[in-house]
Amino acid sequence: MASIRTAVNIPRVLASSSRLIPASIPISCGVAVPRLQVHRYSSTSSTPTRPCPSCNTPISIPTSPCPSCSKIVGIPTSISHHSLLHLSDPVTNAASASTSTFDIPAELTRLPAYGFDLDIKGLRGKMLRRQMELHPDKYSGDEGDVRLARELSGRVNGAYEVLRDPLKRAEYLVCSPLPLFCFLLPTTIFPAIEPVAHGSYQRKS
Amino acid sequence: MLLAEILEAREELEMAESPEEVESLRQTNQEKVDETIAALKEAFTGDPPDFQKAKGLAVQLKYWQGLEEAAKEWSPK
Repeated sequence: MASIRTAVNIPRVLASSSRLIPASIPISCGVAVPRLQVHRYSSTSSTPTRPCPSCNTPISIPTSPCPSCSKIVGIPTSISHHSLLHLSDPVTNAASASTSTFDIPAELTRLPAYGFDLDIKGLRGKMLRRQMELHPDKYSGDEGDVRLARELSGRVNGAYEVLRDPLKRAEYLVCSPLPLFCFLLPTTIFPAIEPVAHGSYQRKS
Repeated sequence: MLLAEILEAREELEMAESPEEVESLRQTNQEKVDETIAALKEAFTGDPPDFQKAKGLAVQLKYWQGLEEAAKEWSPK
């Protein structure tokens, strides 16, 4: 299926998710999701880089701080959680000349089980290392650097919280080919029995 | 069918009278969680990954996890 066709299908899928699907519909005949073509890219030669704002050395995305002058450097917000935690390397969007847009599906396709199959211990290790590199206390000399370090370590935490949890990880990956998929995710499909999940058993005690 | 299975498990929890019963329910539930995670891995392993299947499995996982939360909160009447 051509990607353009997929894009055209989105509004129809969205429209049907919110109103037309009864709460009791079995999962097996859930919302029609267009089957996606995941393009395989021939391995891109190098990971994208950006120049260090302080010493101008090219630094691979998402490396930060700069390995040569230790200046903390911003990380594009659009990279994948996997890249942010150094579990993979970002793939730049071939259709765009800019190095700040990334082709996350192309990147995830290179990972085992599309990035679902993760070693949780290894993941934690990567997160801790990243938090050490980006710890705000390391940059106490400069207010802007501290702010940036806080923002980046917050993002690292957020990415870790998503990837460590199988449900959040699955939701993230399902959303990755088309961000609009997120609207179709669990809570919107079976709202009816969800309230039973919490509360009703507490009331008895 | 999943919905029936979940409702049944919830009813079982509702009817449970001893911590042992709840514990055995939680064990069965944990197996469901593990099976669902394994199935998710398989769905994502395809080329291309089966996103529709993964989405359905994520819904299932959400419900099994919800059941676990409810079971953790269980206390004798």
